[in-house]
Amino acid sequence: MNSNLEPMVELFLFESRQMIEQLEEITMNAEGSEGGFSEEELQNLFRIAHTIKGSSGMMMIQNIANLTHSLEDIFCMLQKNPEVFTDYSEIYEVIFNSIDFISKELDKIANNQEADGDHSSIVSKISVLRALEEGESCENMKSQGEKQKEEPKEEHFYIPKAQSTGQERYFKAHIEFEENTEMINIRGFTIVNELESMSEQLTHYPENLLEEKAGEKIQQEGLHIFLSYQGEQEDLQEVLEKSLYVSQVTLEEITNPKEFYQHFDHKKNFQEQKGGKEEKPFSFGEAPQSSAKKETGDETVIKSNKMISVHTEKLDMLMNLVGELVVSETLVSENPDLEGLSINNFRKASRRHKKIINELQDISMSLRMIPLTGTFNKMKRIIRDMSRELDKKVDFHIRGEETEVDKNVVDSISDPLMHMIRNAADHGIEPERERLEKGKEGTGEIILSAKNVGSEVWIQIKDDGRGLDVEKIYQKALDKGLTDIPREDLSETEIFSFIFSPSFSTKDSVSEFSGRGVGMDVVHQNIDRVGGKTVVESEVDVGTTFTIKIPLTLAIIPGMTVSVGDGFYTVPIHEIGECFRPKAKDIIRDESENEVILIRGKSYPIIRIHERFSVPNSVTELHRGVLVMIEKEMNSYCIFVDALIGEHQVVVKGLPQYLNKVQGVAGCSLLGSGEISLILDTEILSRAEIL
Amino acid sequence: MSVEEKDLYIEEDTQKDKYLSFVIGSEEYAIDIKYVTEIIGFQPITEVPELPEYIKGIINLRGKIIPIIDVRLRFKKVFKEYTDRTCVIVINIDSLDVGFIVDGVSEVLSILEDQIVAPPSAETGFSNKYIKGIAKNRDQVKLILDCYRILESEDLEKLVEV
Repeated sequence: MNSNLEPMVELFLFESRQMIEQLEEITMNAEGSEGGFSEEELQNLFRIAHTIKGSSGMMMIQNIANLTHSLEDIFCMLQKNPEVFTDYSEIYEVIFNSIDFISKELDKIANNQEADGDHSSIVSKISVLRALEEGESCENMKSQGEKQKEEPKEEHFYIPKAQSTGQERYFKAHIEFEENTEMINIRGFTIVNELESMSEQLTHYPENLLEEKAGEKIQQEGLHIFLSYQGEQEDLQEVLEKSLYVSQVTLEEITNPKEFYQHFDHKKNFQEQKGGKEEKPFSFGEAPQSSAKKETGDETVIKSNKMISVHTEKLDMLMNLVGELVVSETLVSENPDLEGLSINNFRKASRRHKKIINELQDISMSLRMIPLTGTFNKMKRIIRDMSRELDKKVDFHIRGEETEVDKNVVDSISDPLMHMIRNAADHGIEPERERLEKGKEGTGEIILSAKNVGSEVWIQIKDDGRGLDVEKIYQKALDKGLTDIPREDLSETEIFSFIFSPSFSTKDSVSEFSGRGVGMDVVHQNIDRVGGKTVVESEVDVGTTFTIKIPLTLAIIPGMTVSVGDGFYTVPIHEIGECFRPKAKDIIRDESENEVILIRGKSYPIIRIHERFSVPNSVTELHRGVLVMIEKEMNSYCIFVDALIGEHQVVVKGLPQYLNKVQGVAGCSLLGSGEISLILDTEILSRAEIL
Repeated sequence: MSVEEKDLYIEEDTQKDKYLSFVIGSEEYAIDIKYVTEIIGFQPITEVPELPEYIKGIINLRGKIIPIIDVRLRFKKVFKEYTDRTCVIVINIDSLDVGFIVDGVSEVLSILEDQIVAPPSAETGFSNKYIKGIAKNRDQVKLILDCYRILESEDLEKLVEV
């Protein structure tokens, strides 16, 4: 996120984004379930719209505030009268439109631009919907429509079941300030603040006293305050009159509580502005309808206490420190000075120490990990929009969304995923008629799945659409001058990889969603940035599978440290099949002097690290060193090293940027002794072997 | 001027015209002190494969991994065994930490701008691209090192492309 934003703005953006995500999710669910919104969902929706309204109002982002206000109306309406609409699709549409609008505005703010989008079209849509409702539910009362609409709403939320606290009295105060008072709104604010400490319930016009416009308003119309008070009217009068710069005070008692509570519709805003500092600002009794509202209100308080947002920089620092701690723990507990000593108590203490550190390590690692759920759910929305727009039927399935990956990874795959999903729906899945002709089900299927494979996360997008046409892609690549290699010399995979080139698109027409040939190279770039790879598999008329393989970028991994010559190397432990000292007779040399070892009937190539990295002073006779078998899904192989040093938790550090990428080395880590060990990139090592 | 800017200004001011001089072979070189973070004694270097010869490898500087360049080899001079006098000057340029191996560090000295003359231009056949100026200080001549040029390299650029 843009770091030069005010912390306040940053927080607002963060929270609002979360809110609209929830909004979207609930709406998606409701749409999927056919039955419309459940009572609980509506309450949630209302709460979200309300919170966004409040906070955006506070940030003076009027268009969002206004829009959410209209949304609130809709949700409120639905809550009151869920049967009004037989067809919810209009409502969903409006909600989605609003969500899009809000996120667009949020982006603008994030980029330090004015949130200047025009929300009037959506708001007018909403009013149309509302008019519809009024038309149906209040047919006979059209003339009183406005009144009818407002009043039940007030009752709904703010009339307590019993005003049992009988001594409670309600007052209306009208305050005028002396002419030429400066910062009149702040004066008003001071008064309101003072009264608040005395009163249980309070509201006032103009609502937002911290705005400068409020000052002008007060100058013209005075400040209106509605409050409840248990004491005598005279006391209040006194307080008000004593306030600075006040020229005239009119204090009236309101006898009808209903009239009083009407003003509290606006109170909601005010409450928001105060950031919910008071735990329970109102005691509204336990009316059946109002209790629901109250509960959800409390829920937000609890929720906001449970979550805090932390800058990722701090997390990185924590991770580094924990990493160092893990290393230094080893340094202490395995200190050579301790060798041979019988120090049972020390060992006991150090074991305990280690346990705690391990736990600390686990937790600090998990801090950066977030599930893919959010990202995946966004895709649901895209599919939904697209299948409507393109008039294709698509079944969208999500699997393994609980897979957790590093926050950075999540951020950088969101765009690529979106492009790929769009491509799958637009290019991949055929129109229904075409599918039926091909003898397929009319409804296409797209599966988005994620799983952990070793130290990688694999995200797969699989469709059962028309597939990629190898020949067509090759021809296109030729035409665009992307290649001049003859067709025979290219494998299918190589040809498929052309689709990741900039300005490559085989779709003849450009649709709203894809086909401009900008998608796939963005995909490629973004995935590349997090060190990931994309693999395409496809068969014509059967479907296409894109697999994105992304390293977990776990900062601490268990590794086996080995020595070669004077240096140390580390292999991630999960990649090691076994380690053994080979017998000379098991080793076979092929015609080009490549060494191969036979183990249990399978042959494995041997890569000598000392040769590969030209390390001097190392063991060169195979039977004197150790072979470490690296297990890969496709081709396993053995690396030849001098000796095994031991298994450690290693903190993965990148090589200095200056060195850039060294082939075969994934990074480095510090050993307990402070020495550096290079972490082998087993993927690249084997590739070099194939070449 | 804010307090921060002022501090920065003062700091820069005290560092102005200050150079750290070091020896390679029989020549005295000087490096702008604002780049220098610290000077450490020689310590074992972890070799990293597939790097140009003058990048000796990496060292662990209190948990930070920094690459080490042998300036001697960078200048295409013959390799000289490291001794007690051998030092590593840790420099920081554009938030990049690098260590320079030099034969020995001499002193911190002031060289005023007017004491520095530009090196002969390449057209005259002078091809040392790592020197950005020649300074006469007291009776000695110091060659002022261009840190950027040392780090930039054709080979490395090639490497980056790979």
